[in-house]
Amino acid sequence: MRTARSRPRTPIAVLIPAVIAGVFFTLPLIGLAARIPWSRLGELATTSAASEALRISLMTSVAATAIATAFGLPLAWVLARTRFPGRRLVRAICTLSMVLPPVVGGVALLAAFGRRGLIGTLLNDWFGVRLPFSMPAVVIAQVFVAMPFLVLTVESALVALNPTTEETARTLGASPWYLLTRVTIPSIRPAIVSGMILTWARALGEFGATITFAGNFPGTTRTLPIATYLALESDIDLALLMSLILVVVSLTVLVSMRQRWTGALGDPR
Amino acid sequence: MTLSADVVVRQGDFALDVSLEVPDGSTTVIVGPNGAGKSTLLRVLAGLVALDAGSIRLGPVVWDDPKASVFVEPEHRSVGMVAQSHALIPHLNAAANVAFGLRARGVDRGTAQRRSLELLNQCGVVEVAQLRPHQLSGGQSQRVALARALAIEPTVLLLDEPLSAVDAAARSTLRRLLGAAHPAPRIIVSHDPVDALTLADQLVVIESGRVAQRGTPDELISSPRSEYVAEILGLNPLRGTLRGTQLDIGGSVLTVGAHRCSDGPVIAVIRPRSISLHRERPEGSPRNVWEARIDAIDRATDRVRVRLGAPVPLAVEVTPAGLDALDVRAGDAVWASVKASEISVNEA
Repeated sequence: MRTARSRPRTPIAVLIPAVIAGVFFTLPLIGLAARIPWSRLGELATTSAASEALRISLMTSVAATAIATAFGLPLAWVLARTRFPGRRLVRAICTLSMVLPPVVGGVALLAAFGRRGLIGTLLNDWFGVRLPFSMPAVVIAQVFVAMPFLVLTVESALVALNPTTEETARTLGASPWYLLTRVTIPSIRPAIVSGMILTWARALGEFGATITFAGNFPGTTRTLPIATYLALESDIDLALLMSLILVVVSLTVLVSMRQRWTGALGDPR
Repeated sequence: MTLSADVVVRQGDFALDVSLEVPDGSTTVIVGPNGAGKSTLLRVLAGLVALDAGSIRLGPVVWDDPKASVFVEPEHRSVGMVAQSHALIPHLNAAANVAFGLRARGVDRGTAQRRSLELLNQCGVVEVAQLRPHQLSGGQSQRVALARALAIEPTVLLLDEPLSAVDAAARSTLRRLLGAAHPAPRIIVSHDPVDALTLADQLVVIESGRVAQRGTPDELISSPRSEYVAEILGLNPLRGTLRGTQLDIGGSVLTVGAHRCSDGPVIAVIRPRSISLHRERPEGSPRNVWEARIDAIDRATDRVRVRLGAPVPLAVEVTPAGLDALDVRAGDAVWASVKASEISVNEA
């Protein structure tokens, strides 16, 4: 419960720029809503290009989130709980893709996993596997760009965890695995969920690394953001409708996350 | 089994160098100023911090011996630990917290649950079994933590300020539980002189990582070797029977001040400085006045302890100047007085 308290009046010099910033973020949304051909909303489901792109986007982003979680949780744990030389460098490398221009990420992925790339050559020669311009390539590009969101969220939750709780659980006889599964993971569940949602939203919106590394093939690698960009040239109404989907999804995620966060904070230890 | 610890741990500038011997079923209370190393000592015994030198043994079993490269992990030591923060697991309810240690050992859910409720009942908090830690009061959570530590039938009990959050009435129940219920070496860190004096078979005073003094409570009261010991432990605990504001100590009756205890056995505490000594029977306000013989006088640089004999054996602290003015020596008779409000009572 929030107790009513008296606060100082907001200074005008704070209020005005704050309002301008708020308006700045709201205007594009209003502009989008104003131009959307609401009568053609039904076409989204029937237009094969849109529904196909939506299907690919949902499949790849869910797969990317699952993979990012399966590998990101252990990585976060290692970064938070172990001390080894070069740990800072490892963390920097593992989270670099958050700040890297996605196109550069795509180029780097091509250089490594492309047909002539460092790993790509081996994959091709030994297993006949060609990753670029396939649906797995879409997932790889999304994991590469989105996993740091999970890693950083979970790592900071692990660091913030009160060590005494886990220590006492150890004295009570909990083996390392029992401790991890029965104490540590449940304690940071809100952070894991938030990290997964952020990762999924980032994967869903991925554009630059995907188009560079996975290309733009309808039915295999053309995701919703890519389809939206292409539709701008041919059918602007369709582009607007597809943008609407992405806005609605992202907004829903943000709002639900906010409840998650405040829920976690309002739950005193 | 006896716990024998010879602890040497270095953490940056701080060094802990303490040896301990705690026999089965006996209680050692560790006191000392903040930062003296008390909590570190408990963490070392629990296995959460490894020794740099020395050794820790429980009976014949070696827990930690860096020279022999032996180290038993905390989960294999079976110590019952209550941290100062209680450290309950936030997403588990009280009953599941108490059952945690048993479940971790592979005890089946039903048995663990039953045992957990039994212990919560013994600790007087069975009604909170279904509540989560954040719904508990400080006292309740402390008792749940204690029940959880007792649930694993610990080989050693390590308690950091175990009674600090419970109210006076509950303390006596828990003191009995601590004192009798579990036949293991018990080590208690406490700031509370009453805990220290009533629970301890052995008191160990730690200052700056070293043992400043050790002994039975009586030994430390009669001759505190440092200012800190004098301040914290230099108290007079008196066991007696309370009836209203009248405290009966072996036939001598003292009047006590306002209190919340019910009639019956109590432990009264009088600070040595709040007792005055006089050559002649004093006139005026103090209602508690009696004549006693001086057993001993113990001079330190800045204070003097005067040990009074029957009818109420007490340590009295006076200034050197005050003693000179009195002009008395061991064997002399003096009048002692203490205000009723200076005698605090705690349920035994």
